[in-house]
Amino acid sequence: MRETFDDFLRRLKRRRRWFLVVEICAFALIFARLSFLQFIEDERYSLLSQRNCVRFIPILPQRGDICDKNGKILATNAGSYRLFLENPLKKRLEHVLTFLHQELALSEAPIARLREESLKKPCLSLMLVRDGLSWEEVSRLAFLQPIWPELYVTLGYSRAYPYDEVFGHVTGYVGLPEAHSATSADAQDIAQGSSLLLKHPDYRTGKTGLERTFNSTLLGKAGFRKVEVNAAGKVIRQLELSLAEAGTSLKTTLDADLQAFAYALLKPYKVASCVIIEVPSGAVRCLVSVPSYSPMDLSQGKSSSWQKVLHDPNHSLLHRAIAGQYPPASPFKIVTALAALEAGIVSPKETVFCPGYFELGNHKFHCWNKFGHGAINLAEAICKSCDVYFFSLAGRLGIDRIATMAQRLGFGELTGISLYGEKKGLVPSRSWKFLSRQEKWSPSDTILVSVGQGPVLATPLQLATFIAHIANKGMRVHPTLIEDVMPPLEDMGFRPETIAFLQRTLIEVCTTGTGRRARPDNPAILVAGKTGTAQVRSISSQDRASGKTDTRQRPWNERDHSLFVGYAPADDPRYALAIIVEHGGKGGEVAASLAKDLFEKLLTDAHEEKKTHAPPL
Amino acid sequence: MHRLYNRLIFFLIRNSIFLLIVVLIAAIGVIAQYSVSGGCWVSRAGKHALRFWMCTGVMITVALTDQRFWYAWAYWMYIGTLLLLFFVELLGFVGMGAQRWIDLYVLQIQPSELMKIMLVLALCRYYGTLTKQETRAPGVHIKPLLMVAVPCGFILKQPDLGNALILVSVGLGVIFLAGIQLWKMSVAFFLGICGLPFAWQHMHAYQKKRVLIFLNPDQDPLGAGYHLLQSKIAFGSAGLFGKGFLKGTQSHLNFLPEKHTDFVFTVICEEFGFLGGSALLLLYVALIGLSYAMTSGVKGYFGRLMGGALTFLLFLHVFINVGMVMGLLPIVGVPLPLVSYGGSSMLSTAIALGFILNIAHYSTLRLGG
Repeated sequence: MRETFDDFLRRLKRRRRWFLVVEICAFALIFARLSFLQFIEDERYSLLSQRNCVRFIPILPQRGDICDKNGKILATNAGSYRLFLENPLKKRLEHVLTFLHQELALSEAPIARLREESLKKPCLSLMLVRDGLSWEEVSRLAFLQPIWPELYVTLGYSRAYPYDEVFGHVTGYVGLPEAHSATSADAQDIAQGSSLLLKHPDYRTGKTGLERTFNSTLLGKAGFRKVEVNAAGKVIRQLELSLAEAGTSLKTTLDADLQAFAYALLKPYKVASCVIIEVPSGAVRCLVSVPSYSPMDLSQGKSSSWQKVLHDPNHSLLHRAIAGQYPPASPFKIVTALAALEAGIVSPKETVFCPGYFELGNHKFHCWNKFGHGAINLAEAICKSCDVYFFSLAGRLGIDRIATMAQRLGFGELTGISLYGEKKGLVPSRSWKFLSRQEKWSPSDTILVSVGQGPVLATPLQLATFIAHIANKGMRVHPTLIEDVMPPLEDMGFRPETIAFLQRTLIEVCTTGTGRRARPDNPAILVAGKTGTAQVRSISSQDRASGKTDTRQRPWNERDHSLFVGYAPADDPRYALAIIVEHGGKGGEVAASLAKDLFEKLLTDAHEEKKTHAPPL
Repeated sequence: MHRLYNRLIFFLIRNSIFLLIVVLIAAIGVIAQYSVSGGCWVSRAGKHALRFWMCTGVMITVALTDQRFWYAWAYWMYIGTLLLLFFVELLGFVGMGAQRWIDLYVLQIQPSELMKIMLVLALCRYYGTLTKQETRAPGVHIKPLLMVAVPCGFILKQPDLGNALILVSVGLGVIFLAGIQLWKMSVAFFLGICGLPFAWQHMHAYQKKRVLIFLNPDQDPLGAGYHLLQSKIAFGSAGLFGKGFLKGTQSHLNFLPEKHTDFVFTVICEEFGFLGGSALLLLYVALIGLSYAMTSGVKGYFGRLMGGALTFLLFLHVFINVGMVMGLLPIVGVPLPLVSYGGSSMLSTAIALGFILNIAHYSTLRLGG
């Protein structure tokens, strides 16, 4: 009995020792785990801990203003008071909604929206009740704040465009950033370290126009608040504050009054565009494209406005001044003439007989004047816009020389104006035709190109720049929208007598020729220019036989485009201008008379300006 | 009266190291509770300290009561606690989604905590009465298994997976210590494994989720895995010296769940770092080692068996709690002895420590066998 009891105890002791081993192993494991967590995974978890409780709240910088040359604001920020509701508990929500209904006369629709939103969003998240509170409402809400702690009034900013659609395409509009499109301007901003901003509900980025080109300068530098938050996301305290730096304001060369005047002038013509460049600085004073859009509405993302703009048959989103590509028509004759004179192929005295048509092989190319101009020299041909003269010139000149001259004058190339979406236009050449149509260049193509028809395309900005070169006596003009950018003077290398001849001729055009309607009433003001009528549909032989050569009898969208390029005052050029009225009819009628209004506006203003600013002598 | 006083002084001096360790652990507990309440003395820390002193009285009383008394009353106390468990089922109130507490008007008590001690007492009493021949007899382990299973059923129904798990573990531990043949143990273990799918079927959804999260902790970092992840972040971000007293971001900004009870070790480690965490763990190692040493040489079979079982019970609490907050074990609610906030847990720990002291005190008494 005695021995068995000792065995008994011994066995117990043995088994207890097993337990001891297990316990020692377990503690070893625990220490190993503790060391692993605190020494090896240290960094990873420290980071996670930081991320847990430290939040960066972005502070939006004030977007810079855009103004015209006189400091008139084209784009700015408008502050408005917004009412936010911190998502309350369900029971409380109904009380709050009743209060909102009574105090703010909130209608049923937004109340229903809030109710719905409240279900979806987590507790304490902010919901926008209303934007643009009146001062009275703000003060009343501030007074009642202690009773309704879930209501917050904050001052928010949205983009405002005082001239709205007048500068629509030029300023462009802003919108929500697209974080995923790497090619967009947003990607750049993200690279610049403002990715924090993407989280800000009020953050907008320039989508087009100046807003897009100068997005990064307008944007400024984002600030942030580094705060400590608890598990519910509530801010406990502020750790660090870095203030935002407001964006730089952008001063443009545009003239708001002029632009507004031009816009009002062109608006009745449905689709039109106008560019005015100051010579010799190249400062763009006016850049109108009709139809326009309201950047205010588009920036606010109003869906009705977006629908209207997107489904507009006249494509109001297209910035025609820089991206509308048109056949340059008769103004292109200046290019042909310049090419011929510079090449020495033609002398100003030489005449060509115009019977009203030009025969190449068995095809007849008609002059716009079916009765013909008779024997005519170069100056008269430009003046009366005789087509046959240039047809005959085309054969002797050849496409290569015309194309080279066109490129020298800036056609077929971007002008480099700081706007997004500029188009190149097109200067056709042998290689272009071969590459795009797999066809050989034919003499009839040259004939069409020589008068600015056929495949040749130019934007209004290119046309204005081109005529500015001529106005500037063959010195290159760089169109620009930003004042401080002033490129060096550059002679384009034309013979001075050629330029002088052309200038004389262009004055003649506006005195006795096709462009006489562009001449201001004040006889002291001399203008120069060239009209153009671009065929949208060629006149068929049946039309010609039945005498329907006037396109005004056709449906609107088949009528000719009306063009005018010119400059004034002709003796001391200060402004170069290009106007295109789509389907406007004859250039000498519509576009030229619009040019007259613009010239008068420009020169009387300038006149008065000179008067007021000039020192009394 | 004078004799009793002498006995007490003698007892205190003799067990001074053991008692010092207990006081140190409890002191860390008070500091942790103070920190968890955001530097507030009244809400928890003071109560924790007060409870500890009251429970120290209980501990010494248990230690100095004659072992024969405990031996004689073991079954009755077990039955009494079982009745309390039954009452919880009938009229207990619900806290934290589980029905665990019973209101005794003076204090609220969680009988499942007491059950662990009483089960050990009763099981040791049972094996203490067996002779060596009887321990090898067939069917001798049926009664102990039932003694484990009945309270276990009640506790699972509350539901309280952690305590049930500890009850089963410590019950099997006693049966193992009492000398069950190893083949029987192996067969039981095998059957247990086979029964796991069946147990899985009867688990609550949240318990299943916890096990799944334990197996794959990264699967749902914001949902069910949130607690574990936040706990690991607290450990990992502390480093060697910790973030400093009252400066733990994970605990003070409420990222940690149950930080005053189950996750209190995380709070200590976050604020005092590896050094603080290891200091507390070493105190536990010392306490468990001392308990083992103090009870391994006693003459009585009952005492030696119970000493081993209670040491194991203490170890289980520390291991499961610390293991779960560090992601070594699934998250089951087990308190950290003397540090976690809670009266019942403190009381049962004090009673267990009291019994260990009692066994050491009555080392020459031969009960059982």
